[in-house]
Amino acid sequence: MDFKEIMETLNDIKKHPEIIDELDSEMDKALKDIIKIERRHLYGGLDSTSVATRRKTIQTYLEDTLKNRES
Amino acid sequence: MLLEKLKLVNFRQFYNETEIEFSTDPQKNITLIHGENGVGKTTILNSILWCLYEKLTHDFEQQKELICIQAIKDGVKSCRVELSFQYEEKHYLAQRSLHNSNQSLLKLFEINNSNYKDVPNPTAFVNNILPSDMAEYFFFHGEGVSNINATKSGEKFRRAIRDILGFRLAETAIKDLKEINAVWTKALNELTNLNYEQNELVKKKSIYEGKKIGLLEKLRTFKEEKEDHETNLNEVLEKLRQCSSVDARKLQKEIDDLVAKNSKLDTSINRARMDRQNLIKKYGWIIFGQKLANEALDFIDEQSLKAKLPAPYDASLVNDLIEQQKCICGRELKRGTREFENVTNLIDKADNAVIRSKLSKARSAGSNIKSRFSDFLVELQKVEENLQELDDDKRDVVIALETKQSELKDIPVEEVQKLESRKKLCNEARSKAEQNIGAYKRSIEQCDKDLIDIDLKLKRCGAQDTRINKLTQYQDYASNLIKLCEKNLNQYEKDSKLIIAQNVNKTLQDFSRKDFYVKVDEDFGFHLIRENGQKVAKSKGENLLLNLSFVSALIEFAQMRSSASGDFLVSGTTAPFVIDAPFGELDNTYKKASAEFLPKRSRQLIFLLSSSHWEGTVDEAIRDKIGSEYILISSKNSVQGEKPSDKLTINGIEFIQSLYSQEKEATFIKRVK
Repeated sequence: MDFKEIMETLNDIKKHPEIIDELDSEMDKALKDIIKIERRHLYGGLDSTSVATRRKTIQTYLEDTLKNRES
Repeated sequence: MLLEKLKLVNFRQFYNETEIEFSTDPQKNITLIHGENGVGKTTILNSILWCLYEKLTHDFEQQKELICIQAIKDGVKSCRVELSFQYEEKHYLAQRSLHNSNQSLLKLFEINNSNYKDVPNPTAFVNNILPSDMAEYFFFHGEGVSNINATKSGEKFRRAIRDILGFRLAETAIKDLKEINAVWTKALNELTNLNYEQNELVKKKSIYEGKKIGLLEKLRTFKEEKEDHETNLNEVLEKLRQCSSVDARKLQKEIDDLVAKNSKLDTSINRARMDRQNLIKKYGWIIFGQKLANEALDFIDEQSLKAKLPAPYDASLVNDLIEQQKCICGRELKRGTREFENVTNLIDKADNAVIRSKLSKARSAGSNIKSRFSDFLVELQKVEENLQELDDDKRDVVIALETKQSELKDIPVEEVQKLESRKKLCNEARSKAEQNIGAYKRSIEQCDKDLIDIDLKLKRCGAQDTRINKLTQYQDYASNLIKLCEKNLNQYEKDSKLIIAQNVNKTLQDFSRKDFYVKVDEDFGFHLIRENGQKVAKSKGENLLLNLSFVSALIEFAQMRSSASGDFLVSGTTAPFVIDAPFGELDNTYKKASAEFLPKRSRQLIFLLSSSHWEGTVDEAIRDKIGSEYILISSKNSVQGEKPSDKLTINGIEFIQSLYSQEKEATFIKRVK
């Protein structure tokens, strides 16, 4: 992000402060989704899945979220 | 977690099978087990610890001898503890057994309609419900751990409390996000290494940009120097124009005129050169096209002469022959014969309107090129003549200028001599500055070319760049999520500490006879503080009261959170509070206080009490809340003699706690409620 873009973003925030809320809630939602994944893998059944599987699921979730955000 | 039943099978002094059913009634949430010293109260506490965690309290003697000695005499070589409990509305049975002196084994079953389903990884499961590091708080040995908080603190302790507070999911998420970020960082590093060329180019670009800035700075300096020298020169010239020597003034005037003329000539010469360049630009293609046009026209003329261009036969004639299938000589042209094919091929070269038009245009274009080439030569001649004329004029002016300047220099007037000398120096300095300006301009041009070249190469590395950008974006996202998660956790931890500290303080306010308050530090260590902020050295009794109030506050908090949604934290849980000899260090006031607040704060309370702890104030305080009550009875081989029978009266009924001259040397249990 260059200086111009930063200034534009700051101006947008000044004009429409609700943007920040949207950003926050988006992060909150992502965090809750990750916790859901953790819960499913740790306590979903009596047997927990492997750490590698759990991390792979979270990584895929994050990558997909960012791809969707771009598109 | 609610404890339902404990079954000891040949465990320490408990011979054969001993069962205790704990009260799970929320209104009568106390299970009271009476026992005098050495009968087995601490063994019951340790049997729970051993079953769940394979742990024993530090003051539990002969820890390796867990199998009942009386049973060993009967040939038994194993012991077992079974603990039934409820957790999240499901029933479980934990079973730890020991054969000979081998490693003990824990099994865990989920019980559903009398079906026993094996729970994998039972240790992790149990730790998830109540962390091992917190076990000694929930299964509390009053006599042995009266000073527990003074010695137990730090990260491990904090970790255990955070588990109880439900931080495990979020903390695992942080750990996972950090690991995922590490994977991305590794990929990014690999990509960056692969993209060594790009890095080198970026560095090179930075160097060139820096170099350009330096060159521009130097160029500016030389331009300023040149301006200074020109100012100085103009001053000298002005002085020469106004000096005392008439000859000098006259000569300087003539020189000024010549300089002006020379300048005009320079402008004209530049313009003429520009005209010549434009002329070449305009007619350049004709220079090269003219030869080709001549060759093309010669070819057309030659072919026309030979009557080959256009062809001597018309396309319509050939089409007629094909249509009539008859040659001009009268022979028949049959389809599929060589003759028919030969005549058909003539169409491609036959004369027609299109070919005639093309030929006409080619002739016209060739003639045009020849004609314009002549124009070009005429115009060029004019420009060259003009340039020659200007060059001649300039040569004359330069010679005249040199002559006049020489004359001026030779005027034998000191003032003129000095000014001439200064003029010479100024001219030299200005010339040197101009040379430098030229050199730096060239360097800057080269630098610009190099930068364009680097940018082109960097563009080619664009693909890697996109991947790098993406990975960097991923990293930022994960880092922000980690920060958010940590921020939330810290806030929850802060809030939790506040609530727990408030609960402990409320207990102290209600029951402590001193005006102290509790402060919980970073690692959940809690300290008694005076109003002036100074830490207070705690007495053993105060410390015990503090520990009891802290654990009960923690249990109450965990229970309070059991209905939480669990979006972020693991929901709270109901935890039992098993207390062995808790009131030893407490005086009657503190005993009564603890006996009052503990049942209020805990969903399930199991007291293991000797008569000295129980009789009087404690019994009065808890009697209405007892749901289940047992007495431990010691069976001895020895003869009673003068030894006491250890009688205990509960609700007016007398119970004997020590039996002598018995066949078995062991402890038995009797249910009284």
